[in-house]
Order: sequence, then C-alpha cells, then structure tokens
Amino acid sequence: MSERTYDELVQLHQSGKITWLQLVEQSEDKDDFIQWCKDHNVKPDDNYAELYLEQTEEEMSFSQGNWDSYEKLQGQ
Amino acid sequence: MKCGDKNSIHIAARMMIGTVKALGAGRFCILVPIPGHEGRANYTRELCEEIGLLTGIRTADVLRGKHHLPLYQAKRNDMKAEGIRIDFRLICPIPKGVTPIIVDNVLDTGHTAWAAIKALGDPDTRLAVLGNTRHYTLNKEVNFAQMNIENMKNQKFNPEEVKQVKTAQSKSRTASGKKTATQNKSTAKASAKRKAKNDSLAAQYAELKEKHPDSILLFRQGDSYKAVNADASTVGNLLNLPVTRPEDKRGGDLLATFPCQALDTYLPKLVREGMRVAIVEEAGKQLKSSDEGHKKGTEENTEDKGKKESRAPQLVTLNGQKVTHAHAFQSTKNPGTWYFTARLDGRQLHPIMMKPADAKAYQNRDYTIDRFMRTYYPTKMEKKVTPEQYKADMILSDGRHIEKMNVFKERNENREDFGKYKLFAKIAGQENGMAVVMKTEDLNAFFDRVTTPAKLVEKNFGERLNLASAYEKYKLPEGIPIDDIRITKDKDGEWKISAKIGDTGRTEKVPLNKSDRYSFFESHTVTREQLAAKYLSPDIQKTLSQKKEEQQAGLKI
Repeated sequence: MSERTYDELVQLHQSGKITWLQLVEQSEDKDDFIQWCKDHNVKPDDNYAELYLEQTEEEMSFSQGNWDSYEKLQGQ
Repeated sequence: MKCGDKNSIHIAARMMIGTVKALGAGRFCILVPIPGHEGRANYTRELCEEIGLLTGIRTADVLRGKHHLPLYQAKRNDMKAEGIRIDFRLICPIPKGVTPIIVDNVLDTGHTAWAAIKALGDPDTRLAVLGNTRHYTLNKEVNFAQMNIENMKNQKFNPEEVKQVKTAQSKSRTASGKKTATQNKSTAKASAKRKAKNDSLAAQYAELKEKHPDSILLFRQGDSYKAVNADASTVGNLLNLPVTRPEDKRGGDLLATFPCQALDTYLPKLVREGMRVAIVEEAGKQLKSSDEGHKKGTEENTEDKGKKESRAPQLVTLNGQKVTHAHAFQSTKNPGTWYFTARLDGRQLHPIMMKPADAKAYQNRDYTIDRFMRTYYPTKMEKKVTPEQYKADMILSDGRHIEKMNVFKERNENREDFGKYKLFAKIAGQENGMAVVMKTEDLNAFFDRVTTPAKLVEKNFGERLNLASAYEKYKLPEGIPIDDIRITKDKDGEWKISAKIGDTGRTEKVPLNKSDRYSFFESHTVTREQLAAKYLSPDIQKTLSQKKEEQQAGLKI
C-alpha cells in the first residue's frame, strides 16, 4: 500500500472507506498510539483510536500555525 | 507530620519506601493507614497515598475508631496509655490473598498498632513505621513477637533527605525576628538585590534556593551544567557523578558537574527520581525553568538570531518534557480574545482560550510560563503515573476491586449525551456496571495518564459506591452554629435530614437518596455532619447571608 498523507487518510475516513482505527494505523502516529494503548492497558480499537486522534489531531493541524481556523473548533 | 504538610509527608514517604517494599516483597499488598484520635486516618492516609505514588501500592482506608484522647496528651498528663481505650473496626473486608501493611509514623507503646492489627484480623498483617521507640516491648497486652515490623532504623537513608527543609517564608521569619510579613518580603527582596550583584555561584545558589527550595538548581556555565552544595550531593548520588569541594568557596562547598550535551540524558533521570529541576542560564541571565516570574517574554531570550540551534526549554515538566514556544496570541476575528499555546517536546499543543485577567497579565508581562502552563495545560504539567502503577491501581479505598473500566464515546443518537465521552466501571460483586459523562479535566487526566483507574472511579462513582473518600468534600461552614442534626423517618416512610442553625430554628427536612442512606446506616462511611453539608447547604447559605445582612444593617444604625 502506498503511503498516504494524513489529509488523504482523513478524507478516506470521512467518506466511510476506513475506520478511525485504520486511519491511525496508516498514519505516522501508529507506534505512538499502540504504545498509548499498552500504557493504558487497553486494546487498540476504533473507540480509543478516535479518542487518540481527537486529543492529538488539533495539535498536529496547528503545527502549521493555522491559529484562526482553530477558533471554529473552540466551543468555549 | 501534619495533615496537609506536603513537604514533611513527601520526605517521610521517601524514607519509608525501602521499608514498605521489604515488607511487601513477593506479595500483593495494600497500605492501611492508622486512624488518629478522631477515629479516622488523616496524615497517615496522606502518607500512605504518597508512598503509593512511589511504590504503586494502593491505599485502603478501611479502619475506623471512636474519638479518644490523644495518647501524647495522655502521656503529658501522666496518664497511662493503656487507660485510653482504642477500638478499631473494619469497614470493609480485605480481599483474600491481599496482605495489609499498616502504616504509622511512630511505634511507641504499641496500643494503637495492636488495635489496628486486631481489627484487621489477618495473621499476615505487617506494620511499617518511620520511627520505633521499642517501648511496645514493655507492653504486656500486645504480642508483636510474630509481627513483621520494619522501621527506618533497619534502612539506610541519605541524611540530606532527613534534614528539615525550611520554606523560604520561614527562613525570612527566622532572619528578621519580629518584623511583619510585609517587611519580611521587602527585606528578602532587598537582600536578593544585593546578592544578585555578586555573581559567584554560591551567591546565586543562595539567592535562588530561597525562592525555589524544592527544586534542584542546575547552573549553566560555559559548556557544562553545575549543581551546588545540597543539590550537588543529590545530583551526584542520583547520576553517579563525582562530587568535589571547590577550593574557592565562591564556587560553593560542594560541586557536581556534567557537560551540556548530557542534559538530555540526565534531566529525565532526575525527573524520574521525583526531582523538580530548574535550569539557570549563565550568570546575569534569567532563570529558564522555574516559578520565578519572567518579566520579559522569554521568547526574546530564546530568539534564534540566524543560527540554527535547538531552543533551550522555557520550562521542563515533571515528566522531563521540554516546553518551548509558550506564548499567547490575539484572535484576528475577535481582538478581545486571546489564546495561549506552547510546544511540548516539539509538538504543538492546541491553543486554549485565556481568561481576560491572564490575557492582561501577558500583555503587561506580569506572568510566568509555569503558571500559564499549569492553568491551561494542567495535566501536561502533572507527573505521569507509570504504566505499571496505572495497571496496578485497580483497588478502591475500601478494598473492592475494579473488574472493568473503560472510556467510550456515546454512539446512541437518541440519548442526550450522544457524542460525549463517558466513563464505564464495573466493581467486583456488582451485577451491572455504571457509566457517567466525563468532565474534560478527567478525560485529559486519563489521556495524559496522570490519574489511575481507581482514582477515576472513586472520583466519579464514589458516592454511588458508598466510599468515605467521596464524602470528604462535604464540610459544614465555620462561623455558624449547626447542631442537633437529625436523620429521621417521616410519616411517608422516607428518611430525611434536618438541623438547627443558630437562632433561626430548624431547616426543612430534606430526603436522603438511596446511596447516602446506605452509606450512613450500613457502611458507616459518611457522618451526619457531612450529610448536613451535602443536603442542607442552601438553607445554611441563606441563613449566613441573612446574618451578614443583619450585621451590616446593625452597623449602619
């Protein structure tokens, strides 16, 4: 399988072609996610993949300094 | 030791680690704190929890007693300790296969310890104490011959750890005698200014240690980092570095040095040992990682001037993670709104909207990175629990075992909490589990692993599980007489609580829920006072407000 960018993986998930778990397993955060699951004594599944991505995704997208779009996500 | 005295309790806990590990070797243990004269464990419980953080052994606060005269008061009044009746009861049985280790600070006559051992009823009970006067050997009522007692006399410890650490405040009080607190502060500031003019390492150490007594100070000098005096001894021990005595006393009495490039290796080691570390740049520059205020944005100090170098951290967390690029920025859409963000080990954290007062403080350059990080990313700043501790902490404070715990997102669209993250837990003996929507702070704590399953379950389901710990937050307000708290069954068969508040008379009767009824009547894990605080607070607050208004009206007249 050719390597896909994170944006491509997100699009595949949004179109229902891959699950959250498949998304993270194909991303560069796969190892980090598996380690996170081990440290928390949980099995990698779709539920925890979604939580992991929600907690870290905003960090990733804002590494490019895209501050203004963050305000849309802020529910505060 | 006193309840809440974190420094003493931390030192005591570190001194007892070896003791507790020796007692628990090869066994599945729990720590049982000895109750005080009020009938409940207070500082011993904090001591157990601190030991638990360091060893991974869970605390089970399962002993209760009746209020009695403190033994130290009895001794002062020439009363015999055996004249004070001490009976403990076990509020929850210890599971089979689990060895209880009773924890106390001092073993003296042995009366309290013996009462605890009898209440536990387990022949394998162990006793861990900080100090042992051996007076119990004269006590014919107790039989410790078969007991496993370990105390500090059997353990080697570093005298540095035993030394009483004075806080900066107490130091200034000692130095200034009868001066007021305000005068002390200005004296300390003036003194610090004079010292700052002296660039010697010893002088810098003295100045900064006053402000940061709990931190290991690492001074950058040229291509190396240096630790001085007591810090040199600690760093030398932990990192296996040679500790020397400088010929020139301006360099301190003791010195430990390592090259700059070794910081990435040594810093995490120090942090893993529970040390708080502050890095001090070259003499004349500001402290990079500490609680000291940064009067100018630290961004300026670390600004890259054309050279491609990794940034020195603004702060290093307890987990050894480096905080860089911490700053606030203004929203372009809503200029009145500010966000705070930072990078942690190079990874950008999502920006958090700031409180207006903090945004103002940032603009006035009256802030510290440490304070903002603790406010907006508190779980990143707390010490992570090790994976081993996390997996082991599946026992509640009453000894019950958590069979299952997980975090999940509600997928049922028909539910009000659809899309929210929930905590599910099932305790041994329960037919069905329980679920509750998680607060953001708990979800973050779970994700960042600064909490454990037992702590999460206790916090979220404590009252439902009738745990004493869940009721500790309920306290009656001071300054208003609340007595004659009654829990009675009404004509309709419902148990209700009411109380007499000062001169205003009795409150309305408020019904108790099922869990609280069980906690009061069956498990005895809640007191009348706690239930009064829980149910009658609106009435109490109303009375307090009325009283204040009356007082103010009286003053005006």
